[in-house]
Amino acid sequence: MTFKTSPFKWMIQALAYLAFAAGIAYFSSSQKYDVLSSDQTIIKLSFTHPGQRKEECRRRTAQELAKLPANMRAPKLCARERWPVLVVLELDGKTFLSESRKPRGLSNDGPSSIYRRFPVLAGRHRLVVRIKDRKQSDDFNYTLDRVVDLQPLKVTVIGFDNAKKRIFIKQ
Amino acid sequence: MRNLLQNFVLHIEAGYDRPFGPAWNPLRQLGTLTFFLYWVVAGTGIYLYIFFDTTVAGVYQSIDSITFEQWWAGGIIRSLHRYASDAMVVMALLHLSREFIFDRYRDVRWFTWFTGVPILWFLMFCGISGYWLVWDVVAQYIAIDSMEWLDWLGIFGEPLANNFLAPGSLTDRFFTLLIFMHIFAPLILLIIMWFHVIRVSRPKINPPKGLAVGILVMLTILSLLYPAVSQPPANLNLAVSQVNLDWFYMLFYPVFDTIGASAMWGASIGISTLLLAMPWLPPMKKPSPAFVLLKDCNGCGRCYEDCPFGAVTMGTRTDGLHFEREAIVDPDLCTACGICVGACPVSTPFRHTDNLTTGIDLPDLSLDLLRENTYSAAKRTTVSGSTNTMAPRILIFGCDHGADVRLVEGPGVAGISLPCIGMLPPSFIDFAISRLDIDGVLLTGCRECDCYNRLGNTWMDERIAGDRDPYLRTRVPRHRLRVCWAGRTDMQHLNDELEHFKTSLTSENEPT
Repeated sequence: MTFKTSPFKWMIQALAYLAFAAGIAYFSSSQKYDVLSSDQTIIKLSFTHPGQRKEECRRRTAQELAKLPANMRAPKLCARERWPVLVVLELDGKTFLSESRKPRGLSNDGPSSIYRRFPVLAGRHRLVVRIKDRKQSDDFNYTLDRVVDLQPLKVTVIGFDNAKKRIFIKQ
Repeated sequence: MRNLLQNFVLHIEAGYDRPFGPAWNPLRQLGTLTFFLYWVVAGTGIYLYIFFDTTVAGVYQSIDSITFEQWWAGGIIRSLHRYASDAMVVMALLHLSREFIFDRYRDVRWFTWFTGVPILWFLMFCGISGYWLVWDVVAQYIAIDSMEWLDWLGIFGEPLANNFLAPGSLTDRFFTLLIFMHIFAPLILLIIMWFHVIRVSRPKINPPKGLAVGILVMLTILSLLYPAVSQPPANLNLAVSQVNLDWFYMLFYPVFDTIGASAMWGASIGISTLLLAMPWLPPMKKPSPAFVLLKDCNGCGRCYEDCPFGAVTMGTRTDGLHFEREAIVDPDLCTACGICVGACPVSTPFRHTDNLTTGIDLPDLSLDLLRENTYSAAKRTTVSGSTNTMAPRILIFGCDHGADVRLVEGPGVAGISLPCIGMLPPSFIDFAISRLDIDGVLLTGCRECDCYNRLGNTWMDERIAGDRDPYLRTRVPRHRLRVCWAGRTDMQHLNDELEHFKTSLTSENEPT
């Protein structure tokens, strides 16, 4: 069967191409998507911090050291497992996040990491961050309580400085 | 449900057939167009890479320079790169949907379907990684969302999203790694696309030239009229508020924002698993494969040449006959379309034997049964005939996937349906006219360029034209043969063609 073409058919073909091109253009970049409203802002909580060891290190006795090969006579014996790190974030008195992060590694001996992103309304807020890296029955050992002025769409990062052992807010 | 969808698609395709013609109909070239667009994207990507700066500070600027300082080359090429990638997603998804709707993904076609699923994954990855390279607010938005999605797995130690925490978090190394992935992933994609068609006999990977030119011209004009440009540069100090997403690649991100990482992982794995498992989901159909009768096989290799699925191979003779080769059927690849039966030179109804056998045959519809069906259909043309002795007797050979020939049976007209019109040996046309006193034979089957078994109507056209073995003998008067390719929804077209054929045969029969 031979297909016969004509100027009219060429015109319809052109229209079909045009419709396809319009569809591509429209869905490729013409459609806006609102990720965040302009009165909101983002708080990012992110840090990596090792929990304390579950058991304190102790000095090996002379007898224990004597039993070990000469190249393995480390004076201290430390259990590897660490406590999970508990993070609590409060905004204007309301708990926003309460999450316990397990230590990394098969033996639970690595640091704990957390990354969370929250959209919140911009403005003045009282921000309280508590971190506990030890036995769960103990109190939080790091706390930051601050009134912050969150600018619209400005990212606020909450982190933990392992060198200075303190929680910080970076705006 | 599937029938409704098939009818819907067939109607749309019929609409495209009118201006484009069957050969250029883009809806029947979705796979080849996907291949073609891949080459367009790859070619334009190589050019863009030459001018691309992989430093955090320079990446956005380098893309802007390509776009504006050499808009006549880089600007158009960048737009072509983007729009061709978008069109590729459309073509790939339509191709997948069409194969699903027409049930072309089960049985021997499982491999093609199965390898098609990772093509979609890699296509998405290629597109998304490409958008990151622009490092504008869209890149910032999708980069952070993507990293948070991956971080949910909890296998990366440090959260990957930390790379985008603040301006200083991102290093130049990131873009070096990203450009490496953006080049490497399309290469893997190409390898999978090659696997996708490797089991297909005579795979068609290039669209007709006219259609390819049409698509390229369309994309170029679109690039000139509506050039692709970057959105404002990424700034990790600021949250992304509003973006113009490319919905072909980024549809998942708003979904991710709504349902969260765990549900997104569940949906991704669930949908992928479902897609991968689809060829084996009920209802399963497994027709009995063709078999070879060595006593009738002379090893000519025509069945091997014509099989659209590569199910027939030629091997060394095992029965001691003086022929060099014999046909071997791989049951795992055979769809029982019967095209091999139509190709076999031994498949002729003229042979005087009670049990008609041939070199290669189908268990469910043997050549013998086909001859019996032809006899009984020929009888029906007389029994159902009217008293008008001038009315022509017409036999219609059709296929199970095209217009239903049983629906056009009437006085003097009888139909026989085959798994594929390519199963009909041309000698049956000769036989019907010369031995059964049939006035005319009408052949029908799937629409042109849309054979369910890929090549059935193409082979039949070539056999009638004398371009392909076995030929239709020249003694068959061509005015007593008519071919009408008609899909399931083209009953009116078949009826019209039948009426024209009747009229033409009647005027032939009328005494002068």
